[in-house]
Amino acid sequence: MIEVLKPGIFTTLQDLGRPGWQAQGVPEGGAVDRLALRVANLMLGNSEDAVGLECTLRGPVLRFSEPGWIAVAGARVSGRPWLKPWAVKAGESVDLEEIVGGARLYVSFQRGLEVPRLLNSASTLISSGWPGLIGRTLRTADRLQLRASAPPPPRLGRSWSVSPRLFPPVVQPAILRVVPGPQAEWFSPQAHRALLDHDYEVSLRSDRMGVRLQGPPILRTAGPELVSEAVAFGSVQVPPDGQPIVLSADRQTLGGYPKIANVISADRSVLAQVRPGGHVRFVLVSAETAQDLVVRQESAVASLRTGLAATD
Amino acid sequence: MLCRPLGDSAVLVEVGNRADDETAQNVHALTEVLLTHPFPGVVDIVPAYTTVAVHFDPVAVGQRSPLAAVQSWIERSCVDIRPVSQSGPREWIVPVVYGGEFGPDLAWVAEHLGLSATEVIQRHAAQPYTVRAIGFSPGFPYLAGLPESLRTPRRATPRTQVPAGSVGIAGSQAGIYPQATPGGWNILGRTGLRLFDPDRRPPALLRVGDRVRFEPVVTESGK
Repeated sequence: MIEVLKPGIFTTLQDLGRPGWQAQGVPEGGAVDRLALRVANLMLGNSEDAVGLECTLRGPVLRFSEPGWIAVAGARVSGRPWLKPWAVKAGESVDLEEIVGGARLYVSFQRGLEVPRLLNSASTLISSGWPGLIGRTLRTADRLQLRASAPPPPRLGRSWSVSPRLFPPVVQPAILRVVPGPQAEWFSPQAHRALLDHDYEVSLRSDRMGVRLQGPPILRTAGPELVSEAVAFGSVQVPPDGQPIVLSADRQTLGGYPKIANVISADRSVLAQVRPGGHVRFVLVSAETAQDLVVRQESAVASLRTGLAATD
Repeated sequence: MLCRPLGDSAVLVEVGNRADDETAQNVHALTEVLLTHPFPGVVDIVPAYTTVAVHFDPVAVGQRSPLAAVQSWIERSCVDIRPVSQSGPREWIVPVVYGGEFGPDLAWVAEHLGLSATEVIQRHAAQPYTVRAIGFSPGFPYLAGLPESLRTPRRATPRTQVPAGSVGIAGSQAGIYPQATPGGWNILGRTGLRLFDPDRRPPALLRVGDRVRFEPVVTESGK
């Protein structure tokens, strides 16, 4: 059992969400930085979609009543190994408060957690009050139940760490590569220049639904009203005030604002790790480049999977 | 049919350029035909007013250009679209308790429109509506067909919690809240119908193209 001594600012239980139900109006949800959660799970020999903690800006303090193994990925936590699992003793408190080098820290537990599921996922969806911890963030005195005992895989007894190549450091401004959005031609060349030639600041009002940006307004001259249509992770929506919103994991399935651009899949982790007050810069790439980058990223994960299996 | 990329992992198919009942039926027909022709790597097929979106996993599609592969699958599947008249829209009756604690905005809407509460109820329940999209929250139907005479602005301050089953109107649209969520629509009444049930397959009761009719229910206190 794991007891929550301090909950952190915004800590939720997340797996890889609920893809497949968007026609029903169900947000995809799940870890904002999917890659980080998958890698944290891989290190421990868990299934890649096992539920873990997504800790935002400031993490929790947890006390283990039994021994276990944990691994973190995404952002780092001060004074603890990164991209390398560590053993926790019975009765030990684990302080994950100081998150550095990003906005979101992912914590996975060997054996995984016993959590209720809804539509095949344990992910917390705050707007609907769905599983995880009855649809809310972690609170002091919450108890997380580890799943039935399973022997740690042999890899945990050996010395190794995952190459940080998959997690490039967050730079200022963070570079978000984009392809044109479905309404790109609704915007003037000046509006496109505003988007691509300036840094945008990440607003404090950003959350799991979207990253709200502040900067030179992207204005549209009069044009048609968009009829609501599907949106995707990374869609750059432009509301009438011209301040773009980049949609994230808990976005609604449909949106009514025109989409000037879309962040590429390979830069999902970069978007997930920008902190409020930080800056982003959009860079236009071709669909082919977007494609090559996501394939390359996925083959790096495949190599990691194979490499870790070889240590068992 | 025009296809537009939505990032590198989705494509939007434009079915019509007007959000009307005919387009809603065509959106439904395209959605059905895509669902009956599975394609590797396709994750979600999302119908809305005038579009159908196909979300896919570009790596799982496993081709050199996943976007082109998905688009050509959509084009091939379209050949099998059946005329709408063959299937015909499904029809639903939604029983509603209007006014009082179940419809806290009925009195305001009546006053705003210069009608009696009974007239608002009669007009709201007089004609069928068409589901144009499911979104906002799981299972939430956006309904077209609200009479011009019932158009009202959204509430100036949205409610932090609208109870599940609330039947609302806003602008030219009508809708039903499947679960308790924040919301800014004017609430006329409530239904006991379960619009979203995570244990049901599919979980949403309604789908794009369905016809919906509201039926006033007389309550104990209303006798």
